[in-house]
Amino acid sequence: MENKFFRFKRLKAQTIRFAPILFIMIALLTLILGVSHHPRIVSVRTSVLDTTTPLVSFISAPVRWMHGLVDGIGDIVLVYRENGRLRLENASLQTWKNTASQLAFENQEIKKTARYLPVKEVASYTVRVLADNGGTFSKSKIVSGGVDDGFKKGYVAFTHNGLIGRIVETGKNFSRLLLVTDYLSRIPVMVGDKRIVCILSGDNTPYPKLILLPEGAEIKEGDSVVTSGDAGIYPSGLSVGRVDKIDSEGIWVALLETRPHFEFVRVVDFGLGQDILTSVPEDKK
Amino acid sequence: MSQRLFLWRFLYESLFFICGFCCVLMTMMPFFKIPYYQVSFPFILSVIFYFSIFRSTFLNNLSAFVLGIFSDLLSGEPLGLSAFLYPTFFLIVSLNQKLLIQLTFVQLWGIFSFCAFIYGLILYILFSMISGVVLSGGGLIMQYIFVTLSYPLIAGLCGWLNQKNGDRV
Repeated sequence: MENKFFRFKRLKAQTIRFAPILFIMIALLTLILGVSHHPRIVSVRTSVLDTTTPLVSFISAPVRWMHGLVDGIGDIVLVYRENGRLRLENASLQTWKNTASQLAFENQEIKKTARYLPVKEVASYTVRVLADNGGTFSKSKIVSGGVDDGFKKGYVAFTHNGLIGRIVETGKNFSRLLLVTDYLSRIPVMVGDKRIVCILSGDNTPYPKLILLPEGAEIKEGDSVVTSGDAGIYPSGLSVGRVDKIDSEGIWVALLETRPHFEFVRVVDFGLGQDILTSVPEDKK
Repeated sequence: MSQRLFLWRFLYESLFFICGFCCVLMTMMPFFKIPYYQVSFPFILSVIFYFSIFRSTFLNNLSAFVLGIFSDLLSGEPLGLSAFLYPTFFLIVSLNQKLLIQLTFVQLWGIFSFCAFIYGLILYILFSMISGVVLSGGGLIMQYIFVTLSYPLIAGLCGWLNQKNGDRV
């Protein structure tokens, strides 16, 4: 009996001694599975998303309210200056209005002549941003709306300023939105009038970088950056931003949406709801 | 041990874990963000550092591991990354607990700053390896500065929690 007791005590002491190493080993194994985006890991992640988001949303409600209040006060302070700016803008837009209606008419005529097939109407939803991930390198937001609302992976998200990212995980009632600035975000894009194809890569700053540029590519500051539609991640022709800075270290892009916080986003279904690998028929994989 | 005391002790032990849990939840709130880089304040590091020295039996390896998993699941970062880094951080500090416990507050602050630097360096290397490109370290440096500067505040709060409830157990 005594022997058994001492054996148990020794075993317990050994377990305690090796527990840290054990946990570190388990974590490393989990990390390997996590990096490979194992389906089981993804499903656990979405379950946690569904469970914790209401709590996070509830706790951060006063903070959101305060943000709204501060923004509101800021708007009141700036209202006179903004009014003057809008008057000037309106005056210049009036001259553009005539040009635009002329161009719209011409566009319609050319479409008729060229027997242009219009792009199909796409479904879009406006959702609320509930939480911000706040990771050191990963940039994502949790938004309302999940599988129960018909949401799928691959929906593209916009604010009123422009493209911000896409849905990468869908829980029952909530989804995770991966921002363009995330360290894992890679978007095939076309730059400038010459439509130079390269990749827009998030690098943990508000200004993503252009990588994998072709040899001798001529890019200048102010060139527009639009999605190329390659790889089927984003549809072709979505405006992302403009080339902001070019130096020896690389080319950086200023995004259309520069605000760090936004309360509502519009998610659009362009029919890109599936991964490329999963959309390939079984016999052709 | 009476039933009431047992219950109180259980609650007390859970309190440190809840404290870490709240730190992880706080990273999700838009208010606790470093401007421009939009990265969160990693308060959890200060909490793990403090309790691994002063209450390593309560906030133990298992707690650090669970908090890491929870943090990874919430933040969308590769699962297992924080679960690897938090227990490692805890292990390194708790192995030197006997030495650290004798140091003054300012000395501890310096040691914390050094540990946070090593933590950040490992994090940067791991992330760069996972993403396959050299990432900008600006956000990480800001995080390091903020977590080092905020250490006295967090350590003060943890100390208060430790003293206030420790007397009753």
